[in-house]
Amino acid sequence: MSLVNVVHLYVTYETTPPIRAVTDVSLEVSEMTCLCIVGESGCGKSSLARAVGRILPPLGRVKGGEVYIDGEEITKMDEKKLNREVRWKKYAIIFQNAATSLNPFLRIEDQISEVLTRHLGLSKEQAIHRSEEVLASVKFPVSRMRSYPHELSGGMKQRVAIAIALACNPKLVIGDEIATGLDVTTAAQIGVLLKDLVRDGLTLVLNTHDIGFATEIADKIAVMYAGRIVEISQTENWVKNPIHPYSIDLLASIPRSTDPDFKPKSIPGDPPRLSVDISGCPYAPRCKYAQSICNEKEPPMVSVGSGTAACHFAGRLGESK
Amino acid sequence: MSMVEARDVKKWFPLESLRIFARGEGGYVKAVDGVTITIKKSEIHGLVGESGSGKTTTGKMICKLLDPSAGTVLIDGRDLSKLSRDTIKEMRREIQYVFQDPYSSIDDRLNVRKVMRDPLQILGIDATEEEMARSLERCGLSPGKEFLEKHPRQMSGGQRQRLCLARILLLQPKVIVADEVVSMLDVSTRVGVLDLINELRREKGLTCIFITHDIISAQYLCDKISVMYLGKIVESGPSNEVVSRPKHPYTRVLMASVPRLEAKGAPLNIVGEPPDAANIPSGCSFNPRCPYATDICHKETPELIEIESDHLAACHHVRDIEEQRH
Repeated sequence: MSLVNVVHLYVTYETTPPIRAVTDVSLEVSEMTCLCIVGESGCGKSSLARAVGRILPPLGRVKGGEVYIDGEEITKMDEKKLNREVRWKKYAIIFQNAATSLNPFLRIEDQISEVLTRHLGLSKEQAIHRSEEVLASVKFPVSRMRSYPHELSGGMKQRVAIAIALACNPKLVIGDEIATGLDVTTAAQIGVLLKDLVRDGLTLVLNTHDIGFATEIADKIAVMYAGRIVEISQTENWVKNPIHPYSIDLLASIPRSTDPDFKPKSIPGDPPRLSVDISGCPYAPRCKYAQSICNEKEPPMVSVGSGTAACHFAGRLGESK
Repeated sequence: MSMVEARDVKKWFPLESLRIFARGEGGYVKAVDGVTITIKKSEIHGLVGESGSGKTTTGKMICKLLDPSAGTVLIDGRDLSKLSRDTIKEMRREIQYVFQDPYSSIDDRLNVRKVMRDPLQILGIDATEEEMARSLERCGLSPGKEFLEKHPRQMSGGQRQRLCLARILLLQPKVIVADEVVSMLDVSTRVGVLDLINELRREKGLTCIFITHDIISAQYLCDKISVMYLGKIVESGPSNEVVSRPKHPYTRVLMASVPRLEAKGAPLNIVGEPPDAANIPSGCSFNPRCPYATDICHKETPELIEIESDHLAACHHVRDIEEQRH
């Protein structure tokens, strides 16, 4: 059963000219799986994650489509009802920079129990007790609950941010670039923790530009380009047999350690601006397989094997050439 | 002959000056604590490590953006600390630093021409339009003449980093220190910038110190890699050797932490996080996290010694660990 269901979602920032950050995105996330949205900066992955969590910045508007989390439509729900019944309890959000998402003046235990007393109506003692449990579940030493954020390392702060998100026992956690800015060894430890949490019943939607980190923890990868999802595949299949030309080029641009003969190649050109109308396939100007149809018609998502991709030549790339 | 030589350089920052909030008793943050590196002409040498390992401080001392607390830095045989003010100015031209963030290292209000020309004027040199355009084109920004009119804000991150390199090339430096130059860039453009650095090295004989936290991109670009941990070099050698046959337990942890595309590796067993640089453990500084640590590791600091030809590591148990693996 899918826990998250995004149906033809459009997100626009009402600037002049308007920026179409998310265009016609549909995706499903099954329970107890991890979906990673990967893409380069400015591809709309943050806007998508924020629209799903309904925390778009003031100029961001959902222009169409629906988002269902555990059966409830989020985008049009009354704000009060959303706060009372859905936020924290059904889903929670972790932000990129744990150092700035924590309140520097509050002890760790107070930051977690605040959520619990406010949203679950627990008493102070109950809240502290529950905080201990949650902190233990993210392998944070309970002895340091009375520390202030500045006394903790980056990895520990990120663990606290995860613990706060887990406090009300939500089914879904949305993470925005949560491994970015962490050291490699710390990021690896956070990755292990997240995998354990998914195994224990959590559903994760993460966005990241770090493809290595994504393939390490995700069950499914969704590739975004120019505000659209261009491919969704099982992680292993995606790494071995990417369908969309952008996925192919992206994977080919990353140096690999085990194969010194592998020569990575950067993708020429730049991604299109989202403030300009795009006709045809958004990747066509940089795509080595592009033909005339690619400039004329935007490709629909088609299934190839177990994955789907938005390419006119999905599954038969290079055949006609 | 070596182009860059650092002999036992140290940079200790006194905690005294940071004592407004700290409750401590003074002491030092030993950001760099005895680093020795020798880099040959037109070699690309990678300094790899996590945050707080001292790699940037080392790079800055090589550029004389910081003065070492102890030890000497020699560039092309000349001791940086013994140069007169005038010679230092001349010297600065030869050693250039490329910063991590191409958004804050370029003034958005200037056009590209002025971005390139201003630093030259400080050094009392000038470049013609042709030279600037050629330099831009060499760095993949063509047509150069058109780019001269542009404003940096019209350019992508990758292009801005190329502009930083193009502006440095006008100075005809001998040594560049590239500090995390690709970590702000999108993956699809990273390799392009790395390749550019490599081409410049081949054409112009540039010597490059490449500072990064990403050991894989270091392997891709560098001839040699030095791995740093808490202000010390713990392993150093030819890059393929260090990556494929790491000697020091820390390098092995680092390699195990690198997310891999190819295969889901063995489960990780990393404990702890890098300790505070103001409070470095005695003996081998990696001992609290090291699975092989014994008594001696808590007492004696291991020397950086040659294990195989040109491959150095600072670990008491290097040979035992090697034997275990066979």
